[in-house]
Amino acid sequence: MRKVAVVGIGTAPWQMRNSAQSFRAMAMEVVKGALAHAGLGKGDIDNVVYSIYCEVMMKQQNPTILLQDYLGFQGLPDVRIEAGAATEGYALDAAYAQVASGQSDITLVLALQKGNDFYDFETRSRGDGLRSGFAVSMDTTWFRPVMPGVPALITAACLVPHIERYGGPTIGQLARASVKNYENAFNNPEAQLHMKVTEDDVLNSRIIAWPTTTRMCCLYSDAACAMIFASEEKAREITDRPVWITGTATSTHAFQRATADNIGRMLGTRIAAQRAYAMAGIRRPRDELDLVQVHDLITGAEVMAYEELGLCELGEGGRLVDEGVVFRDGALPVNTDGGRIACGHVGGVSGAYAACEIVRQLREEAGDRQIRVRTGRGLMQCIEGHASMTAVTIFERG
Amino acid sequence: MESKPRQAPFELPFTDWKPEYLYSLGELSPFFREIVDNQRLLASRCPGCGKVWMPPRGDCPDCYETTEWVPISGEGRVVSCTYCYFPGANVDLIAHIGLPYVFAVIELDGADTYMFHAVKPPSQKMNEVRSGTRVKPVFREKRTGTIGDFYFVPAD
Repeated sequence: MRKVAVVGIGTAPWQMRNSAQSFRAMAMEVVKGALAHAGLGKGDIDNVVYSIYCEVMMKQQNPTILLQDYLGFQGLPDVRIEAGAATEGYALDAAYAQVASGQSDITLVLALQKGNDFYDFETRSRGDGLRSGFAVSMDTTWFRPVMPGVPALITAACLVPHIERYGGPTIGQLARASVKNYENAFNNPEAQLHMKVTEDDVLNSRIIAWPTTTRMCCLYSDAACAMIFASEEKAREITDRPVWITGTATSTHAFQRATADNIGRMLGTRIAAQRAYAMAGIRRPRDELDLVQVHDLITGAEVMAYEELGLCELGEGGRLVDEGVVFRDGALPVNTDGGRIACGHVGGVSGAYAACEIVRQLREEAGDRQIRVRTGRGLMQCIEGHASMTAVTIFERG
Repeated sequence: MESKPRQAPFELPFTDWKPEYLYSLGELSPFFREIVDNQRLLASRCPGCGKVWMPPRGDCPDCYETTEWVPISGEGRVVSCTYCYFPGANVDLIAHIGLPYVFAVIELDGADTYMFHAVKPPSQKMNEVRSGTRVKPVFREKRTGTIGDFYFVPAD
């Protein structure tokens, strides 16, 4: 297996709706950005991996052939990955394998999704249209008829038993973790929300599914970003600041097999993290990582992720918030870009953007939100549902 | 009509594709037929390991044996739950129950696995349904063959 590095990233501002660009033009913008960042031309790319979560949402089946055409990649191999809201991590995993195996020297990963084109003409609401459409993402036999298309609810069904089993996090800790992400977004010019949100604002916002309030829930967005992966030989030619992928793993958690053993756990995350740590040679993640980007679909999922990633014991995640560890100036900052709660979220893209944030931080290109780079390592985790699927990627600067 | 500048995004409806399906419940047909015809719940039992699956499945994922149908009372215990205040969209059962409704992890008597389902709380007051609450199913007048044909209420 060959070493694989990220040699370029291309991002764009998060928007609730991007009416000015079709998905084709959104793709072009970030591909140009990634090529410019890497100092490469279109002709240098020999393979494309698409991270596209939902065709129905973007009103277009088989979108990749249209994108290959629009981006002028005719003749190149491509593959599309879909794994719900963990699509991005699975796409990074696939791109890594293609470059590591020698099948490709320089692979473009394109993450793309129009998330807010659904519309309910009866209620004249985009949200209603989205929730009906989204509901088909859930198990249509066992979930769809008994719950609305509200991702917070499925995660709450993990968070509540987690709190009952392990005694935390508290509602206050959840609120403070939300405030942290809103604050981080302030320093990210590409974030969808630049809003002053206090702990009281979080606690007083509408309850969606107890204990989760609106301000503990992610945004939804139209978004795209691109990354360029290169083999070691190519990476050394392209840049003197490669960011290596030293660990990558995916794992599923038996979603329909809730039992006394696994209720309130995100075991997919636990297992994927252990595999990725073993691959990267990491034994004490809390000391050996500089930053972590986790899937804050709701704040509870973020705090539970601290625990399942082994940054602390089960039930202790809230303490990392209270002690300031996970704040931008803390010992192990989490979601420095503002996360899904304040920067933006749509399946297929937010995890890739989180990976771009790690690359930016490790290359010390993060501007006002730059953290202190010490070990040169960062971790990205993204999940589907309550970690029924998880992908973990570990990055290390060269 | 006032015309917009040429550069402004041109937005239009796309409504000529509304996916509708007529699909089969396949090996799960007996489970849903029993709900529709007899207002009773069945679980599936693996003849290999003896585990009782709920929700039922046609095959045991541990032994790969074809499961057998066994009747269950439908009563059970809330393992964990969350009060939901958000309407979502187009979920017939939630429109029927009203808000808040309780999304619960339920251990049905006789089953070895937990099921996610809806509980109608006795009032708007929170915490009347909680971990440990005994529940029983209520079958709806109109039943079409989905798990939304019934919901749970506290069993007194």
